Amino acid sequence: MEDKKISKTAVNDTTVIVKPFKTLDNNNAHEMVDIITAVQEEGYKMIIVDMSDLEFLSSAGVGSILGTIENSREAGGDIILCSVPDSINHILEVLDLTDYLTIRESKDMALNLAGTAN
Amino acid sequence: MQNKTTNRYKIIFPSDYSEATRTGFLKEIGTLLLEKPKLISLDCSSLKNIVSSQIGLLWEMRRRCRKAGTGVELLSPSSGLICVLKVLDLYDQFQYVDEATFKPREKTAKVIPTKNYADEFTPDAESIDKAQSGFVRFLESLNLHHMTIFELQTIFYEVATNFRLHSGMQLSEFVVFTARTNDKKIALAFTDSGKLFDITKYPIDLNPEIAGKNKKRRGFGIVLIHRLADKIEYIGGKFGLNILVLEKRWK
Repeated sequence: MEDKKISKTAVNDTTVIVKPFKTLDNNNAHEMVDIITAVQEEGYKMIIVDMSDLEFLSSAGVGSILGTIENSREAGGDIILCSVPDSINHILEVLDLTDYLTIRESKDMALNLAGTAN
Repeated sequence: MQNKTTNRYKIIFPSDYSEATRTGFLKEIGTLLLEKPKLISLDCSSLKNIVSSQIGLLWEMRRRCRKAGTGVELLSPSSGLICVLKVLDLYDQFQYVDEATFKPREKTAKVIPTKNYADEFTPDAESIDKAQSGFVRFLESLNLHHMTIFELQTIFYEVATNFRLHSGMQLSEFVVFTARTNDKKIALAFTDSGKLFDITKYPIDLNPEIAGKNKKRRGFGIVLIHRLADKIEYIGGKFGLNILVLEKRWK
């Protein structure tokens, strides 16, 4: 189940990086929701989802982000997706989500947006 | 359960589809194949209400027989069975015999074209992952663009996960999956015996703003399937089966 692992790394008091590995699907989407909800409750306003290793994103994976993003926005923060592979970005485009979601090309750019220069 | 004529066995296809029956039937086939018969006649006369697990079992039997160099003919198949096999593009994989005359309806079974694919899976995560990997390997063998493979993999996963979550199928029941390609398109067909579910009746609209505001976490799979496939056809109810056929044209 290494492929479905999700890690989290705090950058500072307000920003955290959440990184799903190869797959974000029905098997680990609930874990993604739990992690995002937990860091939101801990007070992290900016959540960077590093997708650099992601190879497969299912609709449940999309739901894990879409279902939690408003909590961050309501608290004055956001969920920022970064390093999104072409294939994953294609799924977001197919669902018309690319304008609604905050997406940055690289982790550095996401950190800059979060107000945390690397 | 079986009788033998010259190098040809006749056996009865089981009418129930429990795991024990499946195991027993395949064991019986295995024993028969040790004798290397030219042909096995499968009496399908008791097969009236077809479930996907039985189609899966039929396909598995055919696969084993083919590997052993033994032909399979279906004796007295119902019109429902023939129709399902045709929809799944499996019809040409068998020979057919009228019981009264014992004369073949079709001379020979065709060889499986290399661009056809068939598999079965149970509605659990492990089996779906395994079937998904097998399907991706098939797609890779066609030398398709990686984005096309990804789209088809996504369609497969979303449909398969729908079975797992919503079909009400038992873990001992099988979903039969086939794919066939030509120079214009690929057609995927899923057959299952779960709750009748017509995916074409569900809306494909998605407003990201509203979905986000409502903290919506589910329902995107059907939208994805609709938007990634070029054509979706649902054939359900007629034989107590769901048959979902999805097409994607090559770009």
